[in-house]
Amino acid sequence: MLSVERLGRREGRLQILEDISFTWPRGVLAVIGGNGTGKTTLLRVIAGAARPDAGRTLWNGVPTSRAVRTAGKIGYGPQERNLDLAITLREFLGLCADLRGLRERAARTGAVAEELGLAKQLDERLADLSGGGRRKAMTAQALLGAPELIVLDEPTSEVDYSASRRFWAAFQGRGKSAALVISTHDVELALSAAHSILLLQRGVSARLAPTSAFTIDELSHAIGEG
Amino acid sequence: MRSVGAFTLARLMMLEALRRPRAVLATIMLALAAGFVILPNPGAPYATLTFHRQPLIYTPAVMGFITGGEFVAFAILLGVLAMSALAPLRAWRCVFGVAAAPSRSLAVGIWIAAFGLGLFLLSCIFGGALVRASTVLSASGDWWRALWIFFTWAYGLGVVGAAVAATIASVLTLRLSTRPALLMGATFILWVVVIAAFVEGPIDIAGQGFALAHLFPQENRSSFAMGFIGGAQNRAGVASHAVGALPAVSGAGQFLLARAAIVLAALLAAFVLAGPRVRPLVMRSRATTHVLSGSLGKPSNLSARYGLVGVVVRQVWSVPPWAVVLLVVALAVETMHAGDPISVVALGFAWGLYMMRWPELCEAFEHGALRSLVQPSVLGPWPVRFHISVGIAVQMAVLALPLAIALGGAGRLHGLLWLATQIIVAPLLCVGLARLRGGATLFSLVAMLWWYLMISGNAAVPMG
Repeated sequence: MLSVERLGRREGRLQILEDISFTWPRGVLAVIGGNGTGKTTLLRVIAGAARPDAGRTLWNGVPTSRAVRTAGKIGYGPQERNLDLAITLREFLGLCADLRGLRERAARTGAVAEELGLAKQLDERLADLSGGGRRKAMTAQALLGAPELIVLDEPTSEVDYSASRRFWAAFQGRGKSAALVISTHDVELALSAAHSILLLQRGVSARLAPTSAFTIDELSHAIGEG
Repeated sequence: MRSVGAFTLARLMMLEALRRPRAVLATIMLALAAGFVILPNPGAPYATLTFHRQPLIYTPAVMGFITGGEFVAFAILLGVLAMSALAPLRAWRCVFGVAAAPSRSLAVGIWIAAFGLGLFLLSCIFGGALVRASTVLSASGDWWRALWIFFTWAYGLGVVGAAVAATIASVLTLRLSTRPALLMGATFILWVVVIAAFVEGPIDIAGQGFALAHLFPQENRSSFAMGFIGGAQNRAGVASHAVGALPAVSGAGQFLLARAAIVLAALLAAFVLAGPRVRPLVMRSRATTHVLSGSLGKPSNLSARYGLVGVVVRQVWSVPPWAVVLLVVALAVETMHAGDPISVVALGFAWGLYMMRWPELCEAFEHGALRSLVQPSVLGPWPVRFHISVGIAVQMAVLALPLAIALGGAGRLHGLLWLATQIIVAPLLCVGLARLRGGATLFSLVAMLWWYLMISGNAAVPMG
């Protein structure tokens, strides 16, 4: 169970997140909002990659910054895709599995590549992958093993439509046994694949509701307003 | 510690380096050349290296000592330079961040990779030195035994430099991998201040206790500070003694054991100093967070009001506060002691700190976000390069003003020319090198070498 309690975070003089609270037990939670509404900051805090200025984030009662150190608990795919490296995708995924203390790395690498449709790209160098390819690599490493909490920051931006659909199908499959928090601008896919949506807007309290409570027009309008 | 992850990381970093053939070739050639240059020519008709104004007697051991000793002196700079040229640190940092692994595991992996790289560089330098040493090895009668002596002395000393460099590289890489110039600067400060002042003596990195005692038994240990080769002409000394192979020398076992212990201690230090888990990399503008840049006006206003000049000034003065404090102290010392040798030291220090910012700025322009500022311009990038060059020259001139006034007042024309040359050459070098990938690192190295020369007194203001 992911518990976000009265979360607040400033970046310089700007209050990015203010008094955000929600719980998320299992399934796919899509985080939607315009640019600068704090999606990335929220995800970084949830993934234990940044500290909140106020409040806390817990995974099964343990702060996520501590839970992330336990092998296989939390998988995080950040927006950053600066992977200008000569190592191959297979080596990259193998390294990430190793560093997380996961066993049977070859099998796990193959499984996640199959799940996301990356099997043909496994032996390509990261530096040679397109922007979308690198984004896929980032998502793949987050899904390695069977993390209980998966945090993905815009995993399908720069990814073609058919791959995006495949990704969201994979997220739905993972959502049966894990909690996924995914930020996205792809309103249509989020509405069809996510279980709930957390809507972030500037100057407005965050709103968490089942997907059925939102319409595509409402979300598009909210994103447009930022 | 997840040793499997650490070894995988080390292996992949090595592979990464090997898959950049041009960078590897350049590194090998540089190291070979360095090895060739480090070792004086024993066959030259003039004395290239003397003690007490007497030419050294070259033996395989003496040559090995010089090779290993000089590698120790420059291992950290060489290691960091090679790592930043061969492995894109920012991209690795991205991997570290998402791996959710403890920094200790990463530090050990980087340490192993850096140690391997250090030994590789030492081997290249040894190879370069071997070309010089071949006549000495032949003259000994038993070429292979002489080679063994040369090898044991060179590696007996050099292994410590590789280990210490690996520790510093691994710890700093985890902390400063997104700021190559600061990485180089911090490395240099650690090398000059921490290693030279606190560490070198107690752990005897340079082998002053054992090695020098055997090679130069009547020499005072204090004569062998870092850089003794450059200043050896002025030191008291005696002709060196020929020493046999290191393992056969009395006390060599203890010497070798001590070096093994230092390597182990360096690895443990990297493990302990690795710090908390590495956070995923988040690119952001540091300019908005610093007090000084804020006091110059709101950064965005500064850029908007003064255009490119505003952008350049804002980038430069977004240095960390500690660097600004050191800069002010250096300028104050320069002002108070203008005309004295101390002012040259202060000037070198101030310029070194200041110049650390330029490569980052220039590289940001050539390869990064700043480029987008000028791409829409029909004028192309040259006006920006011109602005940056002039900006560097003007600000360096301001830093050097107290010294320039003192030199002018004393009528020292050569001194003024010496200053002017630096003010003209540094911007050209910076802007020129920034056009190369990794040029910022090269500039940092050149700037720091110049800094070191000024601080050490080897680049004194010419008389007259």
